[in-house]
Amino acid sequence: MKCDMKCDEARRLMHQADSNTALPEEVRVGHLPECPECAEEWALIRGVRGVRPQEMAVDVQAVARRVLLRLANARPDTARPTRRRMSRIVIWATAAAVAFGVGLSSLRSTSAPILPISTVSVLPELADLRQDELNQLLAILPAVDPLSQPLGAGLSDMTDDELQRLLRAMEG
Amino acid sequence: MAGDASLTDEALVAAYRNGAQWAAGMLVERYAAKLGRFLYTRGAPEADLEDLTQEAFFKAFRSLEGWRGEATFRSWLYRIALNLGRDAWRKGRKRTQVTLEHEIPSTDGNPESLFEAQETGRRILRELGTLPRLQRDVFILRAQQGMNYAEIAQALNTTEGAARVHYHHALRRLKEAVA
Ligand SMILES: [Zn+2]
Repeated sequence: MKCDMKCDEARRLMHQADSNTALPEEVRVGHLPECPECAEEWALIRGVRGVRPQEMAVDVQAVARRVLLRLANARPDTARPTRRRMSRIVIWATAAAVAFGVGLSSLRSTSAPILPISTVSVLPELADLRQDELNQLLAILPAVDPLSQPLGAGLSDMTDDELQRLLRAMEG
Repeated sequence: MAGDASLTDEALVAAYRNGAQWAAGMLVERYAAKLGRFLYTRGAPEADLEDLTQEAFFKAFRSLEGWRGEATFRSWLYRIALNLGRDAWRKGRKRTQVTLEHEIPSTDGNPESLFEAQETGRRILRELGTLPRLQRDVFILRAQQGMNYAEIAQALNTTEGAARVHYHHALRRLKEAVA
């Protein structure tokens, strides 16, 4: 069988062949039997693709979980929550709680609410918090009707959208 | 959306940079097994593969600030992994695990050719260890990982032309040794 395919094209297809794209017939039964150069290269490609560790040497799901956890925990200045940092969180949480409470009562009593403590100042701190710290903060915060509905059980169950709504609501 | 395999790496990186954690998860799912295999073929011991893979992804995501998109995410990731693996290569010299890649069709489908492919894999693994570093890395990235020369050049901090030359030197050496 005479093969008209050029070696460059055969090589391109050999390197392209993977689990999604099988080696085309025209290369497999057309070109390779006619061209020892490409046949040897294909044998090497198949051989090196056959080199693999034992199954589950890399548990992809476990790697994904751990990478995401480490990324979530790896804030620039927060390797571990220190006692000082935790007390600062509690102070901010209290401030936020007071601000919420006063804000809500102001909203109910007057059309021009005055917030003695700006909730906006809490936000940069929130952005630096880790998930478990945020959970602690949320546990301290009073339940606020407009927010508690979409929030559900806790921050860990929140979608990105829900978290953004929470932060926007805190900004007022 | 999160499970959409048609999203490009660039789109996922952009989503992650905008705060979408799931995008990082998708990139890990897309490349972790392949990266583990590359590291293994490159010489890392099996016991270290998961840690090395995890560390490479973590560092890649953490250093995205310095990534301007001139390289693909995959080449960025592999470059970091190669730097991480330096100590691991020395420990991982003795391995023989070669399994036929079942998704790559055998040339004729008979068991004898499967055996031959496994045997070729073992010999390739041995021979790869004798190649100069760049020849070895280029060959694995091209032949096993299916990267094009532009990506290989990015991953190995070399030029496309140099990568082509290294591939062909490696190919010649391997053909002589394995054929
Ligand atoms: Zn040919």
